[in-house]
Amino acid sequence: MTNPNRIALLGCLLAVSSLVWLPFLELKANRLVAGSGRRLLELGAAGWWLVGLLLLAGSSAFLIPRFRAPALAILGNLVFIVGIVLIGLDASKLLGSSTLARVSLAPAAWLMLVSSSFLIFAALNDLKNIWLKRLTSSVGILVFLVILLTGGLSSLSVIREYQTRLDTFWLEVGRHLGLAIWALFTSSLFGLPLGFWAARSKRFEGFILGFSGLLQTIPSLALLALLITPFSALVRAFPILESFGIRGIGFAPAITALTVYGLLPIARGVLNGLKAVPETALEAGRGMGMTSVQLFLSVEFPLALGLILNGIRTSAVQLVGLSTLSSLIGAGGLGVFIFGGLGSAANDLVLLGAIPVLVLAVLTDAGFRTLEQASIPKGLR
Amino acid sequence: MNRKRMQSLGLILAVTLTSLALAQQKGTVAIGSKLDSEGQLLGQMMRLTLEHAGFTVKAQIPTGNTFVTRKALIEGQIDIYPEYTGSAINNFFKGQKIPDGAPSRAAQSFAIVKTLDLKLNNVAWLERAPANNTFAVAIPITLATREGLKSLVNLAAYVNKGGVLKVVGSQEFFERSDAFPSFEKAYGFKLKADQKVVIAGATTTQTEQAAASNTDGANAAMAYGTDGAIAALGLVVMTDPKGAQPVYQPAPTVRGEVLKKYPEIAGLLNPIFKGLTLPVLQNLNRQIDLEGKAPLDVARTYLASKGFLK
Amino acid sequence: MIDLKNVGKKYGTTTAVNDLSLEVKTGEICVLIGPSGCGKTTTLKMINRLIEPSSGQILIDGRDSSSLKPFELRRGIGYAIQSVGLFPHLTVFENIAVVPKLLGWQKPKIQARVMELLELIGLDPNRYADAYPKALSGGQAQRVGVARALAADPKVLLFDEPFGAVDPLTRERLQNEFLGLQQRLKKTVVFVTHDIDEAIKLSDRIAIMKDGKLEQYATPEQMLEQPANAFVRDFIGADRGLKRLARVFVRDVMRPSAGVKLEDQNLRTSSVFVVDSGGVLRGWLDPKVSAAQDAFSAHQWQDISVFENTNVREALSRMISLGFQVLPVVNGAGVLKGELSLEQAMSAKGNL
Repeated sequence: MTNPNRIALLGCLLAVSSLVWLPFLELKANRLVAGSGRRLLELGAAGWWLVGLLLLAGSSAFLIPRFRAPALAILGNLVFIVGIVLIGLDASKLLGSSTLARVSLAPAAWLMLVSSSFLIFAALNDLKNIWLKRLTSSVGILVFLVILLTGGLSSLSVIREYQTRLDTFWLEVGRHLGLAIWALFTSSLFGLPLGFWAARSKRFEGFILGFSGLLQTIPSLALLALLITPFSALVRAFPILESFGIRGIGFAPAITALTVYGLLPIARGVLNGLKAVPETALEAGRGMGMTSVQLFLSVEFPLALGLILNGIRTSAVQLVGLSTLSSLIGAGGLGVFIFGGLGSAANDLVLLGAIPVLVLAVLTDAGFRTLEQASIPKGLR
Repeated sequence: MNRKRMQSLGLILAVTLTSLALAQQKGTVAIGSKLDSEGQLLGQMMRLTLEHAGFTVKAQIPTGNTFVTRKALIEGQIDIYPEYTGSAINNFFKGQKIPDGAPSRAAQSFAIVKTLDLKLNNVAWLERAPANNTFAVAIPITLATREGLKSLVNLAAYVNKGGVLKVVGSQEFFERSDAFPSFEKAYGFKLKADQKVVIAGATTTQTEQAAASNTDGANAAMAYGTDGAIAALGLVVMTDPKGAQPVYQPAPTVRGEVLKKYPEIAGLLNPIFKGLTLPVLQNLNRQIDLEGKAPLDVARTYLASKGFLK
Repeated sequence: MIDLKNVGKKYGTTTAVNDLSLEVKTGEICVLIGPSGCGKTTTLKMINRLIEPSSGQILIDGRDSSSLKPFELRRGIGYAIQSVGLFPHLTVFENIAVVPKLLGWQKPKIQARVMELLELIGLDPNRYADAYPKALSGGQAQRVGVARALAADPKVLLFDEPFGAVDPLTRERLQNEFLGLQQRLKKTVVFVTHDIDEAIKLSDRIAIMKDGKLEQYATPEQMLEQPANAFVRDFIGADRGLKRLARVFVRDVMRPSAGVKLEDQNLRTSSVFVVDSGGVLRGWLDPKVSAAQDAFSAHQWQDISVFENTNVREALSRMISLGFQVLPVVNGAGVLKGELSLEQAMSAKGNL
């Protein structure tokens, strides 16, 4: 007999025991009060399907690897899909017709979702075929998106928050992305040359790192508030700026503040990248008659690109997070929901802002990582 | 044919010019608000009203915290936002002489704020809402009925005879002399350290939740008078008959130049704020905080129901 | 021809090179040597202006080097360094093609030249043209470094300890290959090293430096014979006689050797070396063993022979390590060309 797949087995045991002992959904009388938990099996007999699937998955962990991988792939996705469907159905059953009550996920539901990802990871480890791998890792997410978009989860509290703020949600997502992208652009605009300059001059290096490090320590709220006066003065002096959307509050000071924070990782990435270029390659290039421009373009830049992009990625991910602060100076963004929710202690509203920020940050990170991998010269891989 | 075309061109021109003239006459106003839901609600009300009256409104709701929003107004980056009388007295007139006791008298404090702000900063205060959103103490209704507690006078007596009371509030609430200590002073009681649950930076909704669910044994909460969650959480506010607290009544604050240019703004906003009594505001706040409705929607529904929007 | 006229380099108050005059004749190898800090590398780098001289003048084929822009000057001078400095993100092909590209050569011409150079340095173009530097051994990388310096066929080459970073065996092989190349290419070479044996082996003339000043500039033979002063004598070391042997080649002192045909082993002529029908060395006969069939000991020719162009010093060291009194001498294909006895090797010294 082969060894059972421990990850899959552990995941199933965890999920089954939590489904039996822990609450699956939480019902609150309204948005603000504390709620009470409901276990899956209290919510209806359909819950047995999920428990059964998990037990089946647990026992398939003992199969030989050739059968185990497809079994885990199928059962993992089934657990995930059935789990999501049950969450949607049970939530709307719990909610009934109440407009005030809220239903959110409780620990057993989270553990069940985690366990299904354990099963899928276990399957991905064993599967060889790249297309089967892609199918296994994407089918659950696709079905989830379909259920989400067709309103199957609309009884969940976060989706409720989304629905009441439908008209502003996508606007704020757009603003948030706009802020992050613009801030990344301006951060690069200043950070790239600063890093370059720092790599060229020892004296300037210390100054740049010290100065931009100092900028990072300015409390964000104070920085935002500080920027109102100079920007207002600027707009009063040059009223034409207002037609470009530049004002004492809103987008312009928000971008400025974000740039201050986004600068350092980029400058540092350029500096580290250029410093990591071997001195011997530079001497050889110079000795062969490259001009300083040729040396930069064909030797320094390609060799430093990996670390430069690394810096830009760090900055981009930070900026996606920091753009939430823009709502504190009237520039909107997902921070509107986060700070609004914090102010009125409405966790669901906080999540409505925080989940998209998290998703955006993860996507940004993944996107830049792919770019980084693709840009590393073949000779260095 | 040609003539007809000329006529229609003329008509279009006339319409365009008229609408331009109208737009010119009504002009553009930038509206802001603070971050809290009541601030956003009032901001959205002003926005809808002015839009309805034909103004072009640049909405910057929310703008930021008190400091940021006020600064935006002073720097001319927004033209109007709702502010509280008590907040203004506490923060905006450092170094000015404020008569003793004036902050806790609604009419007097409003008059002071109105005069000083116009004189010092050219900021005009329009009609205030007759609702006091000041610091208060809220306790569970069960406790209030069992012990017959209605005002802070009753509460002080209850504490002094050894009744069980544990208040949850922010650091600011317990430390600022015009907050909780002013209650203790005015009503003659004193809480021991273990009768206070301090949550740094806590909002009133958080403290009200804590008191309602008896977290850490708390059975009283820092609250604002107009909080929408109070009733829903099964709490009741202890009245302040001696006026220990400065009065916090919300009113639109407008840049002087803007009001001079568009004096009709006062006529548009005054009747709305006059109608915002304590129960009305509590109900509207409740819809936002408890039912999770968006401030803009709540504002629109209310104004429509009162006939301000047609 | 490279002509250094009263060249000096100062850093603040310290003098790195002091009033140095030196003439390197066309087609000659001039080795700059001296203890570290003597100014030899600075001198080298002043020739292609990686370091700008503080004073004096450098003429290359009669032309003042300061009349050109530094990068134009450098494109006409091959440059190889100890750490090789291959560009890690470029293939071997692209590394070698750098200068031709800078000079704007056409693609087919670059292609042909790179392939020719790879053949020249003994790397299979099919296998190595598209390889990246990280896939090369130390010796291969050094060869590519030399090929890169030769790429645009410059008249002048500057080598800064190009064989310094490899093991002694590889170094010896690279040195021999370099000498072979130089015999064909006849470049004007300035070569920096700190290894006196390398200097004696490779140079036409040695410039020995100390504290930024030239102590002696002479052929290796002259320098070994008549060190200009105590410093030079000490620097060369005690074994001057042995070192001199590095300047004598086996072909000049060997004697003929007929070799025994494989099929004629039992004839027992005077020679002890056995060759096949093509004349390629196959082994040797032990004279102390009487039974002919037991006397033959078969070997790869590479393991027991020296070349005609091996220097006597290396041949002597080979003799000692193999324990032979007489060494077979072969050409590049292993064909027996003669033999070298211990006495002959010893007498080479007297020939000078």
